[in-house]
Amino acid sequence: MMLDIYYNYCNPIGCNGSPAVARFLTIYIEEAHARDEWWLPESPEAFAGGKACILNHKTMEERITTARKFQEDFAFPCELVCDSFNEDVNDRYGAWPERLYIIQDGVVVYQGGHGPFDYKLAEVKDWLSERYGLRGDIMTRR
Amino acid sequence: MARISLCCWHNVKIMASTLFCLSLAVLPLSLLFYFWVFIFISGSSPKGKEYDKFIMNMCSSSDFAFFKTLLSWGYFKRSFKNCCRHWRLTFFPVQFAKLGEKAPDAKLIDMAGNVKYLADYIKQSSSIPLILNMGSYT
Repeated sequence: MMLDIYYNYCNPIGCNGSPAVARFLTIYIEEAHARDEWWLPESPEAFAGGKACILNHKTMEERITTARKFQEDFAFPCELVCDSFNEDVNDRYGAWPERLYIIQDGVVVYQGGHGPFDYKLAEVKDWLSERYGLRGDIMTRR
Repeated sequence: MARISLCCWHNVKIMASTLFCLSLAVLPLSLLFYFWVFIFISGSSPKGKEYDKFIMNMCSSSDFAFFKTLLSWGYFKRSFKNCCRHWRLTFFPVQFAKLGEKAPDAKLIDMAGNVKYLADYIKQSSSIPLILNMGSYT
C-alpha cells in the first residue's frame, strides 16, 4: 500500500505519466520492538528481514546505520530521514510506534492514529484519491 | 483472652511493623505494576476492534505469550521509557501536532548525518501535501 501511494501520487520522476501531487517523507524514529527492549519473539515477523537483530539505538550514528539497513533490506525508494536523538518528532507528533500525517500549507490536514492498529495507509490513499482522483490499482486495505 | 492479647502493647508493635513492612513491599510492587501497564494506558493507547481482537488472541494463546511479554524485562524498560516521556511532556509541554493547526517544527537528521528541519521540508513542498510516514524497522 505504501509503495502504491508512493508510485501513484508521490514519485518525483512521474507517476505513470502524471505529475506527482504529493511528497512522501519517511521519518525513522526509535525502534518499537528492539531486540534488547520490548522484543516480540513469538511474532511471526520477528525473524524475518533481520528484525531480530535490531538493537535499540544508543547513538545517532547507530540510528542512521539502522535506517540505511532498512533502506537496503527493503529497497525502500522513498525519501528517508531520521528523528533527532532528542526525539523531537516523537514528542511533537506522538509518532511511536508508527503514525501517519498529511501536512498542507503548513497545516496538519490529516492525523492518523497510533500504529500498528490505527496506522491506516488506506486513509491516506482515500485522502489523496478524493482530491487527485484514484490512481493505480485498488490494493488490500489495512 | 484474645481481646486482652490484642490490646497488649507487644502485639500492637508487631501489627504496626507488619503493616509497615507490607506497605514497603506493596508500594514498589504497585509502582512496578504501574509501569508495566503504562504502555497500554498511555504509551500507544490503542483502541478499537482490531486491538481487542489482538488482546483476546494473545490472552487465549496456550503458550502464554501475552503474559510472557508482559513479564519480560524489555517490556518493563519500554513501559518505563513511555512513562517518563508522558510525565516529561506533562510537566514540560512542547507544541504538539493537532488536526487543523500549524504543524510543529522538529529537528531531523538526514542519511548523511546533516541536521535538517521539518519546517524546511514543509516550506519546500508548499502547496502540495507532504505525507509524513513515521516508524522504525521493527
